[in-house]
Amino acid sequence: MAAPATRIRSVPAPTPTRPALSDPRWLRGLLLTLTLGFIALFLLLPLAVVFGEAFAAGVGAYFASFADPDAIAAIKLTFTAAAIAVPLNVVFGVATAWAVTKFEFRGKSLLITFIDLPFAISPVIAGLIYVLMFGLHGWIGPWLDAHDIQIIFAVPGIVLATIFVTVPFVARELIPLMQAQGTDEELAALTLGASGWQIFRRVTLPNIRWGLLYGVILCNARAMGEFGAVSVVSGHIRGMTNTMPLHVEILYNEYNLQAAFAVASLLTLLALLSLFLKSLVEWRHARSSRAH
Amino acid sequence: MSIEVSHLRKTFGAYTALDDVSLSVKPGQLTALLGPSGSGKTTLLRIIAGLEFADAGSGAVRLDGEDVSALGPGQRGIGFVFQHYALFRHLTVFENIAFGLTVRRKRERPSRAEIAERVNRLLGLVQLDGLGQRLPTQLSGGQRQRVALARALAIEPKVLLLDEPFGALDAKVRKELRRWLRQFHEEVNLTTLFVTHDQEEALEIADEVVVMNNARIEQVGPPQAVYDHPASPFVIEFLGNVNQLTAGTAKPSARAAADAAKQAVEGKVTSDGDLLYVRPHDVDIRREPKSTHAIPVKVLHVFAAGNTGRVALRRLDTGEAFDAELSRVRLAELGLHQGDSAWVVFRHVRLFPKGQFYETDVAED
Amino acid sequence: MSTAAPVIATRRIIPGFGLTLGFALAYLGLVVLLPLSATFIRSADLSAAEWWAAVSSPRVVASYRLTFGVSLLAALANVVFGVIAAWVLVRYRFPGRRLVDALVDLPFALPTAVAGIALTALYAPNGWLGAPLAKIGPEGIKVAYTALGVWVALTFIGLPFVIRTVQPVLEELEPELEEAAASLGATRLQTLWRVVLPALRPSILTGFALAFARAVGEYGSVVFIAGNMPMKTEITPLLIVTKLEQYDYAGATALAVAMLVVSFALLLLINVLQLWSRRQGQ
Repeated sequence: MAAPATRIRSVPAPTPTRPALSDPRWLRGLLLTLTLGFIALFLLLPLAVVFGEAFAAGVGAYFASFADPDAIAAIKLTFTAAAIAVPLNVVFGVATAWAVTKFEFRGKSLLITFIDLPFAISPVIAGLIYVLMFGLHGWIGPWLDAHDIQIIFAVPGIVLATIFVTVPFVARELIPLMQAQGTDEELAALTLGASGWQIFRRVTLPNIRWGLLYGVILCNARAMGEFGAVSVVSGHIRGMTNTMPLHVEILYNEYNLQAAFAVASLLTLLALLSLFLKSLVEWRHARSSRAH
Repeated sequence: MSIEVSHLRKTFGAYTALDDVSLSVKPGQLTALLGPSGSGKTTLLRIIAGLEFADAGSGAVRLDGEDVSALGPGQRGIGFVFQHYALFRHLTVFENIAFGLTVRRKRERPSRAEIAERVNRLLGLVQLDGLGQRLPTQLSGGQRQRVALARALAIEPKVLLLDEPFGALDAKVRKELRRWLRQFHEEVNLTTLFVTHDQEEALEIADEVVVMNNARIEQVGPPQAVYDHPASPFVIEFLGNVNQLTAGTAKPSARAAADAAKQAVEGKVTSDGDLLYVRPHDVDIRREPKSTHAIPVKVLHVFAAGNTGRVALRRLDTGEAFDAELSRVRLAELGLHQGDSAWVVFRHVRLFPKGQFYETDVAED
Repeated sequence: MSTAAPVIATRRIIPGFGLTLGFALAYLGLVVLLPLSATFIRSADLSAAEWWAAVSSPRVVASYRLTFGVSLLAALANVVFGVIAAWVLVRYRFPGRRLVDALVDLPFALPTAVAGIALTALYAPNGWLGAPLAKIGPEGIKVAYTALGVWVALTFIGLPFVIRTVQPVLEELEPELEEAAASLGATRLQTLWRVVLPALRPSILTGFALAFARAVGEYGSVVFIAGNMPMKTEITPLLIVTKLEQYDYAGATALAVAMLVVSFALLLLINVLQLWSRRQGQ
């Protein structure tokens, strides 16, 4: 389950200066060492290895890895898939959050549970269900084949699998946020004569913008990094249906470690950029919610 | 502009919020919807505003005689002030007030200059000159309340509806603001309906008070009439302090007087279980049993701090404890102390025997 | 009153109900529910006996043992370090705290394939950590291409869950509770063990279940470091891929259905746990 337990957080607790809340010196030292050691071992070392291996053969070899047309094609495909999946899931997330937080209807909690389904499912199975649906031996595969439409082992399948694994991100972010904000401001706008679109555009959207951005960052990070689901539907056709993570796998399996880690380092930089933007948004959100 | 609602019903699942409610509010008046929480007063206000719909087929809301039941809240010509103001937090005070004008369709929308002029006039009206560029978070509670009011007034509503307008404010600001609202009402003279659970607030500023309880309207009338002639035990208990006593076994003044009142209506005397309501300021304490109606009491406690004096008493005949309220001067004259014996006479009582309700003034003898 | 929501509202005040709910249902139906149900329907191609044979062959059972067993151990490790890290991040002030806090989400942001090759390189016999570990003891400690390697990958993947579920609860925890305990004569350790930890219990369990569920389905980070030896270091998701590559659609579907049932049960459990922790929080 890839569910990020992270939700956009508001104000962190103030620094505890109360004497009864401070731990003994030895305990502080122990816990701090354990935490930093754990973080260093499990997070920092793998990061260091990626860059270490990527530059093992020097800077020239590093940049040469990106001149490979297959690598360029993989980078392009990764960005294309994300560019389709993220906006669609933003529309879905906003529409779902609006329906769920502004109205009461039967089956609402079931709907909320269904949103989380893609997080509960192994990415491999996410890929498999599309193969069973659109593959040659799938439900509508033969019909698609007869009409010369290819989804599995082609770009549409990669986009679909990417959409599937990133469905929940924006909705999960917006639902609790909009629930907490209530409907008073929307109702006030309604009494003042605003239309539905005006209410969304001028009242709701400004209030949820940080949460929305946060969801987009997480959604995008996952869309660009997805491996299992995409791997099952891709068919690994070089230069055609390889995304960056799949390209890393191919290079690695060919024992071209330097090139594999070079492409991996690009993905790592994207991940670090996501983390940085995420922290920035958290900080902005905390500031704007502290003002209230 | 009058407000008329007829036979409204509103249920939330198994819960009934309004049970066949009809009400008519006269044009130009300041009317209070008063009741405890859960009495249905906010639901009624929201149905009038169009923020809630009554149960299908259960009556209508009319504004100035026109049935608006099918219209949305933006089409009814109402101004609504929310309990927690619901100011748009990302917009300045100016933009908040202008909002209702700027969302209008192009041909109905006033020009930029007209909007600015109207907003500035409203800022003056609610005494917030110069604060137009502030954000709602930079205002005090009382200021936010007035921004909400100005925002509602900007669309020139025919009716003003306020949900617990002073509920979120602290005691001092609350008092100031309600006086201000009364004055403001005199100036603009707009039909205004406000919801409150604070009887003091309702009695102080409203032209008319609508007392609600348990999804129904208990009584409608001017403040003094409702206070002096409550129509039900609920109203008497909800409006101001009151002592509830049993009629008693002895022959106190109240019992005899109430008997007379009941006799006149039903030709029967009271039974011992009947309830008697006496307001603390209708209890007259004496050191001597001058009247034959006087009830012997013992003084439990004397509270002399505050602008009126309060005495906790115990009836010697039934053992019930109750309160009396009297002026500090009178209290000093009596020179009461804890443990003293005294007598009381009830000046005005209301008797409630089994679903019926009588009241009477006790004649001095 | 206004707070009580109507169960069946015949008319809705705020616009957009039909449009937004219609879109949400259509999208979710097409992208998620339809393909998922297709899988269940496809699994009906197999008879019950065939299905059972497919999901209970020795190689498959060995993969369950590895997948669920190591996922459990990884989630447990995440509980221990997650609670400690959450405590340190919320209560202690030290240079670089914000950086560490931001870094905790790395396993969410880093593509699993990258994590997989990085951990493999790190723990391979000639790797930065693998080489010194191989010198310990007579046999040497092998991490890459063993179950231990699978544990390392799954611990990495599940690292943020417990921290991120416990952190907000700790932030909201009333300091008065600990002060009360201290005023009643409890030592700091007693306070932590008997006052703070019980208050965190629902969130720890939620984080544990999330980490476990994620580990069970994980693929990308594991396949590189596991070595994928049948009966030994082969996880169930990999078996599904293997069957698919051999065009054994029926076998892959059968395994997928078995795993889906487990995933749904875990999802249900997590929902119940989250409900519980919200109740406790009130």
